[in-house]
Order: sequence, then C-alpha cells, then structure tokens
Amino acid sequence: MADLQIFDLQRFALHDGPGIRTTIFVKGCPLDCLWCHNPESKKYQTQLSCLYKNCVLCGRCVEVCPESVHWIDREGHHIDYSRCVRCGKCVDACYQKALRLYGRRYGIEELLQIVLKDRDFYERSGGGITLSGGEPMSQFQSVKEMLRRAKGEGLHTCLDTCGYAKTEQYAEIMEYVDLFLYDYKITCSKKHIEYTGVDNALIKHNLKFICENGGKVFLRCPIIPGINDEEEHFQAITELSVRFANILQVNIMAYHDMAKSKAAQIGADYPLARLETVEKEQKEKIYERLEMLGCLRLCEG
Amino acid sequence: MYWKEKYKTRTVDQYEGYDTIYNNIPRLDFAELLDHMEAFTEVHKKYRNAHPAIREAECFDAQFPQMMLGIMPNDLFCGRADIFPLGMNAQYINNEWGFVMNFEWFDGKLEDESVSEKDRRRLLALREYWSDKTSSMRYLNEMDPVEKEYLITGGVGFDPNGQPQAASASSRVAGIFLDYEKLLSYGLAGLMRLISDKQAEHPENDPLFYEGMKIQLGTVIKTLKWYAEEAARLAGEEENEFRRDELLEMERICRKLVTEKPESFREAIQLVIIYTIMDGAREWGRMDDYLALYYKEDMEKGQLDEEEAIRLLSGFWRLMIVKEQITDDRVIIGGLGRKHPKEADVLAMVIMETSRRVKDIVPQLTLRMYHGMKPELYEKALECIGEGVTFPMLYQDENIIPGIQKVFGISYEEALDWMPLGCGEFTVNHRIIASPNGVMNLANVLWGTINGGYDSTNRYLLTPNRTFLTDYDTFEDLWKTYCDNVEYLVNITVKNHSRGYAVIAEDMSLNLHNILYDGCLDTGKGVINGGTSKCAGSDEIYGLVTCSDSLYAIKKLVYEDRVIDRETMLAALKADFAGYEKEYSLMLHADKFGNDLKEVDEMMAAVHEQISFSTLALSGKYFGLDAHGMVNINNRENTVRGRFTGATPDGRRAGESLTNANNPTSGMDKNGVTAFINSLLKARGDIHFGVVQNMKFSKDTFNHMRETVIRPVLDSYFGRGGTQAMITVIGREDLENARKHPEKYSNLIVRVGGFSARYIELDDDIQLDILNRTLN
Repeated sequence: MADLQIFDLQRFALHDGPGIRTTIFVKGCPLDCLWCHNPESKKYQTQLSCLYKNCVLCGRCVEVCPESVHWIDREGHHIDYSRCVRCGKCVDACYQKALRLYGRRYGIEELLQIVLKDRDFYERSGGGITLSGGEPMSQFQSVKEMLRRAKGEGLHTCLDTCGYAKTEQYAEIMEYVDLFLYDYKITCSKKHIEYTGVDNALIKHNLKFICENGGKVFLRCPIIPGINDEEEHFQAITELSVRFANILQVNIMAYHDMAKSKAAQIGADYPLARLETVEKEQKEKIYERLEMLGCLRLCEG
Repeated sequence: MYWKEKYKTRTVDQYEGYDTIYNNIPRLDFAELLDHMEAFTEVHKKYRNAHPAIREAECFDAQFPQMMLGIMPNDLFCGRADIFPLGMNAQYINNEWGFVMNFEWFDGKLEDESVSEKDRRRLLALREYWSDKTSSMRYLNEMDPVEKEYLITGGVGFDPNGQPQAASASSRVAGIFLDYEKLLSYGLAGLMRLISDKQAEHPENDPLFYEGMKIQLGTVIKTLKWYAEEAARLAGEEENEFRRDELLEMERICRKLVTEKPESFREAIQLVIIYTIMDGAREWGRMDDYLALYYKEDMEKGQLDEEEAIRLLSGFWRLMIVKEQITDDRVIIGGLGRKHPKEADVLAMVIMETSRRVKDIVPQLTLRMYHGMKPELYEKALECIGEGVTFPMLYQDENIIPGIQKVFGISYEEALDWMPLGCGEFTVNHRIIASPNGVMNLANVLWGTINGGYDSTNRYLLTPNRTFLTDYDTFEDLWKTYCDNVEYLVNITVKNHSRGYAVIAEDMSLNLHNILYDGCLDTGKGVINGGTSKCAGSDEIYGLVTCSDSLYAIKKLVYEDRVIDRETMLAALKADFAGYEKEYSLMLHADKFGNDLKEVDEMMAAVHEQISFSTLALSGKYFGLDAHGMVNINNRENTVRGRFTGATPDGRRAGESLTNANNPTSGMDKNGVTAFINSLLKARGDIHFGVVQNMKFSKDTFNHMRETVIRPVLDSYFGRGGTQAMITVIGREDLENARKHPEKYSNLIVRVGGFSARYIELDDDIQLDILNRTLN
C-alpha cells in the first residue's frame, strides 16, 4: 500500500474548493516560488521547525541531540537546520512544544478513514476532499490512489496543483478529479523561471490539456505586487477565461505576508521580507482592472 | 440604598446607554423596612401553627405590595419587585426558598455603628427568631451529619465563600412554568371562581388548601390596585402628554384586570407579568402560543401594528432585564404541540425581532425547531444569531421528545410540552416540576477517588473511599471506585432534595404555583406534595469533560503507556505540576475530547452514561422525585467550582475553570467544527434531563458562508441526533483575547486570502497586523 508524506491535514477546510472539505497538504514541490506562503511544504523530506517564542531555553534539546543541531547562548536558542537528521529526539524532549517536525507518512487507508469521518458534512454542503500541498502531483502514484479511493467512496475530489507535472500524469489522474484548483502564476516565461525556478510552458500546456479534455478548473491566480501585477499578466488571465469555458471560476489570491514567520521557524530565508500584504482596496482595484479587460467568471478566492 | 443590591448580578453602570432603567430607589427606608420585617414576623408568629396554605397566604399578604417597586419613567407595564433581607418566596433567592433571611445583611447591620442601639436590639430579636426557622436553616439543621460532611462542610466547617466539594444539595425549586393560557382565559376573578368551584367539587379535600389560594389571589388583586393608584398619581404629575396617556393606560389595565380577564395583547402581557413576578416564577413559557390570539385579534381590529407590538415586548423584556436573573427568563417559541401554531408563528417572528433589537442577555429566547417548521423562523433565528445576539438558542424537538418520554416516563402527547428551564434543564410545561437541586463536581469525585477521599489539600472530605491512586493496580479498579463514589453521592443528593421538598411543604403550600399547575386543584395537594401527576428532579453536573479527559490521561499515561508512575502522577497533581514539567507536558498533550478521536471520546461517553444511569436509577426512590436524572448544562458554576478543584490529570492547573457542559476544554478542540460535532454526537442524547452545546463561529463564516457552511453544519448536527445548540458568533474581541491568553485559542484559525494559519502560532507583530487589519 502506498504512503503519502504530508505536512498537514485540515478538517473543516472552507477555502479549498466548494463546501466543507478535508484538505490534505502533500509535502514537496518542484517549484520554488519566492512568495510561497507554505515554505514548510517545499521539501519532500521531514523538516525540523521551531516556534521560538515558545522556547524557554531549558536546554533539553541540546542534551538529547546526537548531531549538535541545537545550542543556546546569551542570544538565545540557535539551530543549524542543515545538520538535522530528523530523528525527532529533540521534539520528544521539548515539553513546551516549541519544536516539531513537519512531514509525516500516512497510509492511504489511514487518511481515507480520517477523511470519511466528515462524509455527512460533505454530502450536505457539496464538499469533499482536496489534495493540496506542496504539489500533490510530486507524489503522483500515492495521490492518484488517494483520489481513486475517495472517488470509490463517492466523494467530491479537488486537486490543487501548480500544473508542473507530466501531461500523461494529468491524463491518468483526470478521471478521479472533479475539480482542479489550478495555479496560474506568471505569464512571462522568463519571469516565471526567475521567480518560481521553472519554465511555464508545461504549465500552460497542461491547463489547455485539462480544459480541452473535460476537466473542470478554478483558475487560482496569486497576485504579488511588483512581480506579476502587470497588464500582460492580467490580459493573459482574461484570455484564458474567455478561451476555456471549463475554467468555471477565476480566483484572485492577493499576496499576504504571513509566510515571513513560517519561514523563520524552519530556518529558511524569506526573500520578500519587505513586501506588504495587499490590502482590500488594492485588491478591489485588481478586480476592477480584470473586469475592465473582460475577464469572465471572476470570483472571490 | 436598594435592598436588592445585596443580591445584584450587575451594577447600575451596566445599564448606561440602554433603554432599561435600573431602579435603585427603595420604597422603604431603613426604618420602614425594619417596621415591615417586624410586622411580617408577627404574621408568621400568628400563623405558625396554621395550615401551610393559610400561613403562606397571610405572610404573602404581609409583604405585598411593600416589596413592589415604583413605575420607572419608561416602563410600559407594572411589575418590578425588590428583594428584602427577610421574606418568603416560592422559587428561590440565592439558592434559598421558603422563608428566607439574609443573615449576612443582618450581621452587617448589627456591626454598623450608625444603627441605633434600639434598632440593633430589634434587628437582633428578628435574627434570633428566624435563626432556626428559615426554610434553609431547617433543611441544614435536620440534615444527617454524615451526609452533611459530604454535601456542605467537607468535614471542616461551613465556609460561606466556598470550599471543595464533590457534591452539594441546595434547597430550592427552579423552572416553574405556569399555565399562562389558563391565567389569561380565566383572569384573576375567573380563577377565584374556579377555585371555589373546585373546592365544592372536592369536599374530600382540605378546604384550607383552597382558602389559602383565594387569600393569595386577593393579594395579587390588592397589588394591581396599588399599581393603578401609582400610575394615576404619576399621570397627574406628568407633563408630557404622550407619557401621561401611557400611564393612564397602565392605570386602566391594572383596574380592569382586578375584575375582568384580559382582552388585548397589552392587557394579557400585564397580567402575565404581575402574576409571575409575585409568584416568584422565573420562566415565561410558550409565549408565542399563549399571546398568539391576542396579537392576531388586536392586529385585525387595527388596535396594534408590528412596531407597537415590538415596543410593548421591549418594555416587557426590560422588566426581565432588571430582575437580573440571568440564568432564567426563558421565553420559548416554536415547537410541536402548540395550540395555535399558525398564529404563534407570526408572533414568534415579532418576538425574535424584539430580542434582536433589545440585544441583551435576557430573555433567554429559545426556538424549538421541528420537521416542517416554517422556514422563515429558521431564517430569522440565523439572522439574529449572526448579528451576535446569541439568541435564539436552537432545540430540535424530534431529537428531544423521545428522551423526554423515556426519562420522565410520560406519553408522547405529554412530552410535546417539554420546556428547557434556566440553563437548559428539561421540564414539562405546568405539569411536572423538575428542579436541579443537587450538584456534582465530577473532577472532585475523581480527586477523592485518587486521594483517599480527600481534596487536593487533604483537608476536605469529598468521597467515601479511603484508597489512593497508588492502591489501584488496574485502571478498572480505579474506575470501579469512581463509579461507587458517584453512586453514593448521587444517592445522598437525591435523598436531601426530597427532604428539602418535605421541609418546604411544611412551611408553605405554594398557592400561586398550585393554581396554575395541572392536577393540584383536583387533588387538593401542592405541586411538590403529590398534587401533580409527577414530580421530578435532577443533579447538575460540572467538569464532566475535565473528569473524562483526566480519566483518559490516567488510563493512557499510567496504565497503558506507563510513562508516569502512580506516585509521581499524584505528587505532580498535588504540586500543581510545579517541578513536574515533563509530566505536565505529557498530561496536557494527551488526547482530548472534542477532536473526533475514538478512545478519548469513548471515555467521555462512558462518564456521561455512568452519571446518567446512576441518576436515572434513583427515579421513584424518594418522595417527590418520581423521575430523576442528570443535567450537564452551562453557567458560571464551572468556573466557581473550578476554583476549589486541584490540578487535574488533563493538564488543567489548580483553580482553573472546569469544562463547560459537555464541551471540550477551551481551545483543546483542534480539529475543526466537524470533528467537534462528531465528538459531541457520541454522547447519548436520550438518557438525561438536558445537556447543552456551545458552538462558536466567526462572524465571517457565519454570515458569509451561511448557505454553504453554516446550514450544512447545523443540518448535519441536528440531522444526526443533536438536541441543542447555543451559537456564539465571534469577532474582534476573540483576536484580542487570543493575544492575551493564547493557550485558550489554539483552535482560532485566521483566514487571509488563500490560506489559513493558527493565530497563536504566528509571531507577535503578525498577530497584531492581522488584528489591526481585521478591526479596521
């Protein structure tokens, strides 16, 4: 039986597709978006995390760690994340629950049993299960099995994807996906490489493939000031909405800066440290621009 | 000085900015009060050996209308009552009923140097006379000394400021629901005739039983006349024409009700108010039903429109608010079994709108829902709740009625008139009294169980076992002792509940209750004395989930995983975890109820069933308690009792609140609303006398996702057997509190754009940022 490496499971998820859902956050992503709001989702491997404000400098982690990852001095608690071998000893020793590991393997059956607990809520609300991430397609076989089992149980399924996976895999998984939550990040190919680490040709191709082969899509567009809030991109979004009737909704996901603290907890840099959250008024302006351009089926994300 | 202030729950400041006027003008000054109390005492002496119905009626007549307060500038109805340091009442004041003296007030006055020597002697004489004659003193003095140790003193001495107890038993009656339909259709004069007719019909019954009722009704009439004079006097002094007309209308209605039955919406409300306030009852029954036809006819005649009805009901609500009986004042709307469902539905909408506009903590508006209910009522209820009104509370008839039939042992037709009283205990409208007089603190039952019968300080006796945690080789051994303790304590609470009724029945007949409770006029007996078809009672449970999570933690950590040994567990609890950080962390982070986790939820269900069946088993064992059960409800007592409960194995520190009703420990339900509801539904709903559920939603979710999320959640809950929901819609203050007390808000998820975060896990500046953004 296949396993899934996940970093979170959220019941009563209300924003990852229609109705009340359970969202499984799969760990690992082929993209490296500068603004990623789930930095703990990027690596496939389990990762140590520290909520520094909970730490009382008791030093137990220092005592139990075989790799000298932790040390405490007058400036506080320091962690060399690169040396961590993910044994979890420090997490067990941490009574304050400041330390934790992101990433745990679950069996498909085990996950399915958790998901099915809320079946009645899904049925009454038109909800179901969402596979998100990270990038769920990065654990393709397990994700496909998860979705197949969920469909077998009659659940509505969503796949939240960045679109960067083999087209054949989308072809293979489509029958088990009721709705794709499909990210569309940057239109300019060069910029896409610069800010996400990969080219967008495959992403565009896969979107076309899904739409033309009967897949239902909510197009999810993160808008990051200074990176993609530009005319060319808005026009491209509009064109996609006009071209593909299977894009049932266009969702604008305006940038917010909550990832800053999350990045610090896993010892990662956050390159957009100075960028501020897009406020409501700015967001409304983005909507207005898209509407002016003729974007169809624009919905609150 | 307002004599009632000794009993206050709010202060005059809390009425600022409201239409409600707090009446702190006493009618009697100290000298007059002293005269009054002496006169009252003389009446009691005179009728000491009289029939209880006569004694009660004469004492009642000695305290009205003196106890009534004047009409305040925006009152639309007459009926404000003071509470004196000495008096008699048929429900309760500060958990006492019958003849009541506020000894604390007397002691304060006796020490007060501004009181003259002569007055002090008079006070002392009163105090001495009543020291062994108040109903509660008689109840306490006659209690079995062994039972008294458990229920009152803990074997140490009675501390009025509270002390640890695992069980206690008060002498009172709660949840009187009078037959308002009968009151309104007969009127006072009609009731007087009815009593005479019944007396003639039943020559086998004691005529004094009927005589007392008539004297007492006469006092109600006397008080109405007094209010009519008051209204007339104020009208004479009033310059504002509109207000003068209002006062004259109040005078007219009071005079009319002396001889005639009410014929309009406003007249009906006035009669309901005056009877209820003087009776001492604290609930207002199925108001949409008994006022329905008055409303309809007034509307048809063009004497009333919806706005005027709301204005009148708002005036009614204001008189409830100033009573400050915040755990009572139930107004019930909707539900199966109403006499005029169609007309009542129309009025129910108006009643909800009134509560929406008044937006206060009473009345505790209660909507009984049922399959086939008009959808508009549910719409309106959700609209009110979404505005943060917290009312109406929602109850599902189909999920409650079968349980009512079973626990009360009554037919479906009788069960249709079930009512939630006070904080949510079940009773049957003007048919069966079911007062919650016993109290159990299950967390302290557990303390006694693991600590030789004593509390965490080793001073107060809680339970009869003499065994310690270290004596139990298996969890089953511990569980058996815990169950034995519960059964022992429940038995003595029920026994004393029954004995308390006997004490009261010797003191008074409960004349005004008897007139409006089914059966009494025919049997010639009082409501707690065999007059009604049945009489019931219940034990209030506190800390059920604290106890079940604690039992689970012991089972898991001590007996299964063996990560804490028995000696260390007990030592850590006694030390309130100081020096036991590792054990504290293990206990705190053990699984908790409310997360849809099998084993810990099963423990909760087991504790719930054990206490339910232990109480049900006592039905019919003692006189006056034909049915007995447990209620796991919701008020401040979970916090009060928590102060006298040591640290518990669920990681709760000493003195902190116990869990509220059958809700999870605050902030410990971390898996979302669906998991929380799944957990709730694991506790059986048909074996108790009332259990309440609190649910909290953000304003955003409740109001913007009502169709896609809120309705499905509630439909699922009620569709799978949920009995009741009290819904709080939260806003900014939660984010502020979450910053101050993050440990209680681990389930607060904030949503910004496309992802969620647990609020307390965010850095300070980000929390502040979100708080600010949400606020502006």
